[in-house]
Amino acid sequence: MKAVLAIVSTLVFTGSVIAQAAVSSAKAIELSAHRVDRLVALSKIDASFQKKLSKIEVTVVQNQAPVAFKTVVTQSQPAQGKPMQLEISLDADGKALAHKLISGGVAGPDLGFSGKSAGELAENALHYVLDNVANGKIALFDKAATNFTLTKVTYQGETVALGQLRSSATTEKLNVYVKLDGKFLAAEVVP
Amino acid sequence: MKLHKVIFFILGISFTGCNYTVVKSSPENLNEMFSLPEDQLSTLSYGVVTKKVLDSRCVSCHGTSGNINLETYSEVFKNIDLIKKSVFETKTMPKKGNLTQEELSYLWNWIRMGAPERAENASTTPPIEVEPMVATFESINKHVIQISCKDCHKPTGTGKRIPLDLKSLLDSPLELIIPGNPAESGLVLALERADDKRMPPAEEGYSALNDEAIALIRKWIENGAKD
Repeated sequence: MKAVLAIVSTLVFTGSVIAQAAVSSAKAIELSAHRVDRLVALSKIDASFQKKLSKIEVTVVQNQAPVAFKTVVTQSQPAQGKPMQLEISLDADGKALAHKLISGGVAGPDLGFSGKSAGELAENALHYVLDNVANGKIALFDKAATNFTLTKVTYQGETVALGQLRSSATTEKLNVYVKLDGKFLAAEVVP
Repeated sequence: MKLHKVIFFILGISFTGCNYTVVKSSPENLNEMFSLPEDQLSTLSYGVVTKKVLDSRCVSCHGTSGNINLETYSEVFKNIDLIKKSVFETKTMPKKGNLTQEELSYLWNWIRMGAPERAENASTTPPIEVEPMVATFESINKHVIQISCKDCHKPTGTGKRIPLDLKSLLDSPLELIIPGNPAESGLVLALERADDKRMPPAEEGYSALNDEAIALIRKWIENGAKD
């Protein structure tokens, strides 16, 4: 009987570990960007979260099953009033369970993405990470991503979007350059 | 003297190229390349060509929101010269993959015969049964996914992150299907939205799904998206 219980306990424990690891932190960030798009499409949040998304932070949540991740999405400029942030709770598979608006956002410059929205540029930059996890250096950013920021920069003479990913597994940063029409341009790991 | 020879050589090549193109696209040559047995020729009709070629290879782009609609006989007939030119002369269509020898043969011979709506021996040929789309996954897969989605949503395609088999649709963290709730299902939102994230994507040349197809997908989800 004790042996059976031990096996069952082990299986349950193993199962919970596997469930925690079902999606990576970078995937949770990417799914949050998609969730923003969905919530905007359903008119549940204001469209500036999509058009003027500037940052997504992720935290791995312990002991709050079914919640496995919490992400906070920041807009650089609100549609009106004070800047807000959006907190999204996701389960181990990355499925959004709940969202709430939280106050305390800090307004930043309007980056003025005109072709694709900031949210879509963020999605595309994050797709680079998810598509290249076989690369050991990129995998560090996939597994232990902590935050993603989107800015507008000049890269090789062209104005482009820069998605920068930070990870708790390294002090380096991953820069992903995406053209304003959403097409991937280049990526580099920088100190 | 040397320059003379070079020019002569280039001109020779140019003329050879022109000659090759003309020969390859001449009607006689096409008749030979795409010949069909007599018994098949006598059954050729709009229904046959729709089933064999148009539905699977053309309508995903040339649907209701495309520039040229190829969903009805009258529209296809109206554009028959353009179809002939783009498929057999300039070879600019279809943009996504070449037609097979069989598809080309059906299309060429049908056009050559004057693009008839009914078969020559219509009185003895059983009518082509066009299976209507219904609110089941099997039907949606056949009429929509395999026609308008599969080129991208395959393991090597640009839509590889979003497989569209039933299990993946139901399990996706993107909530592509929320049984009983079509209005919030990601699949429906993607099909109905008007911006550049609409699926199938306009920027890839795809037409939007028609209202009837979307209504059936909505109905399938409303019914629980069970099969």
